[in-house]
Amino acid sequence: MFQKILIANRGEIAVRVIRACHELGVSAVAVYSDVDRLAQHVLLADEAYHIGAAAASQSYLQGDRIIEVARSCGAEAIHPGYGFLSENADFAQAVTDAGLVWIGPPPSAIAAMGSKTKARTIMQKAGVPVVPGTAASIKDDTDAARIAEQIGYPVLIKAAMGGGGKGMRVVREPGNLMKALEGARRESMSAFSSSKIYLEKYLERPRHIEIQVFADQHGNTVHLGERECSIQRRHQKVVEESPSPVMTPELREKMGQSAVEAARACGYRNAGTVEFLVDEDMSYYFLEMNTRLQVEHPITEMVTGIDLAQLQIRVAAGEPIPFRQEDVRMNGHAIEFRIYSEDSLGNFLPYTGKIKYLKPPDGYGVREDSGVSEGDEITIHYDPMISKLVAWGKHRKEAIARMRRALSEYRITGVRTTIPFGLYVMDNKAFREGKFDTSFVDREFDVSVLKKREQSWERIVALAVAWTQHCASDTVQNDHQELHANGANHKKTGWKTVGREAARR
Amino acid sequence: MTQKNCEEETYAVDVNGTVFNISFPGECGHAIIDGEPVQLNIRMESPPNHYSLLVDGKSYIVSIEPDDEPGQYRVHAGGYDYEVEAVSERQAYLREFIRAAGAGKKDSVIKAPMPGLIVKLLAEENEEIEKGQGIMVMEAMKMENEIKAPMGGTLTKIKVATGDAVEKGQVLFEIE
Repeated sequence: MFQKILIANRGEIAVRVIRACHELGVSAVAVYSDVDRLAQHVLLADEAYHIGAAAASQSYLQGDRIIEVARSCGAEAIHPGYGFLSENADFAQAVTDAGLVWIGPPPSAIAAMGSKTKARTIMQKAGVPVVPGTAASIKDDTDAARIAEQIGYPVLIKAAMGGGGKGMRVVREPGNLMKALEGARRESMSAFSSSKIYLEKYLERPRHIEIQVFADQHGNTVHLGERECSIQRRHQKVVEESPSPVMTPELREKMGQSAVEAARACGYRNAGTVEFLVDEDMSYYFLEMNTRLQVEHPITEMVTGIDLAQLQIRVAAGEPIPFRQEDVRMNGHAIEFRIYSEDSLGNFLPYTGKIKYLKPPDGYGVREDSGVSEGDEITIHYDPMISKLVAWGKHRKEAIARMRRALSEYRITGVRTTIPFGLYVMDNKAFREGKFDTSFVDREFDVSVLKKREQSWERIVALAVAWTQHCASDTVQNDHQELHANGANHKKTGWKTVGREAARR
Repeated sequence: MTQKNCEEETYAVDVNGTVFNISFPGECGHAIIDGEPVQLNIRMESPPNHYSLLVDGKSYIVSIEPDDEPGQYRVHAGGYDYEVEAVSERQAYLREFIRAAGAGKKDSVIKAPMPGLIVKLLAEENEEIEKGQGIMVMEAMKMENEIKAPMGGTLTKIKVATGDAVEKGQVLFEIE
């Protein structure tokens, strides 16, 4: 086992890894930017070193500087957390070249999975289902019609050089194909100077279900079940749960096996996640592989009882995975809700500000992975995620009730958060019945319900404010003054005297 | 909770644009909101601005933070944020008077808008004054308010002195 590990990250994930280090008896080294001197990860670490300015490009993305710090402080390994440098193959290589251990997959696996087309080709070869379509661009309209017929409507036209939705067209009937091809080519040409397009099967309202995998240096690769991550806003997950409400033991076995094959196909080591799209008839398709510990890893920990952050460190140190596939059992149900500094009532717009008051919930079955404390500033420099709230229950219904309870106890002021949205989700019929997909926010989220809830508090707010103002006026302050045995420093005025007289009547 | 005898007062409280009329009749522990009486028990839960409310027995937690202007607050309750402005009836009356005075009413005899205390005189008799110029400072409801000239002219008479307690409607000064 290592003596000392450097964590090249900040926020809740740095805290998570530091905790794992301490539980393993390993020293934890933090790095920090100008604005993070008093951040939780710095306070909890055994050592901390300054690496640069607030902007991530000047600090948490400065790979060379981080490696330098690791070497000079005697750390033997670097844990990248998620985000920042975690999926940067060059950085992983540089860490290894510097004689340090990279707590993650080999750089070659990071690079292979980082390219969408390369990943798709590798998965196809390994027999992992991918979304049907053409990886190469189509020749002409006749070719397109033939391929569309082959993969079946609806189809999605995509720009080969594209991104950000430009050049994309959904075609539901053969009759509309030609017109859509023309439009997609024109749009792609003007946006990417290339009219190359390709076709993919369009999945109607897919679910996003991912499989946690783990591989060691001794040839063992296992999966730890799934996480359901369909509830997203801005294509970013906000509610995750394990197990998925639509999962069956047979499908888990099948998808798990595909995920293990995907990991083997790219020579994977350590923790990874294979993301799949699952359509209405429960066919699943490889989407991408995340070559790091995921944000939502705690729900897998809660149901399997396996500490993933600790296991990452053990496996990187050369230990074999201490259990076999058949030993993995999923016990109960866990839900994670991501508390972001965002306006639930205002299109999830990020909200910056100082956390003035913070009192997270606790109690049986509630876990909070947080990287902030009272007085911390949510800045434009980093991700606006404040905390991850996790609720465990013996079954899904109990987990939902517990999450609902925990969210309603959560007290935070100074920034707006996704908590009102979280409460909405826990109360939503489709969510409670497990009948939802990636279109949940578009189809099910009715912001007017939150506005009504907001309004329902107005009367209470008015009473509270009127009362405090009333008490601040002289007449009622008598009580306070007596309480604090301190009225002498108040300037005496005739008005005050009149008030007192009235109060004594 | 000890029963306090408080002076009766009415407040207009604007919460995110909705106005509530709240009055506290003689005894504390009672409030009337938009004509509906409620039992009210409020305690500071966590200083400096977190309060526990029991409204007809129902429990709520509310955070109240004073904003830049007096009477304005930022309130957090139930996971939501509220912008609140609270004005007592007397303050509202006074403000309206000041606003009207500033807007240039042609009254040449200026009267006290409410009972209060003259804390300072800002001009002298027979002084040539401009419209909007401060003539005196009056304290009422813990707020100091500048009483301004509603029109330009000569300040012919000041009928009060520093330290005077004045009644509502009492003449303060005259302009010609």
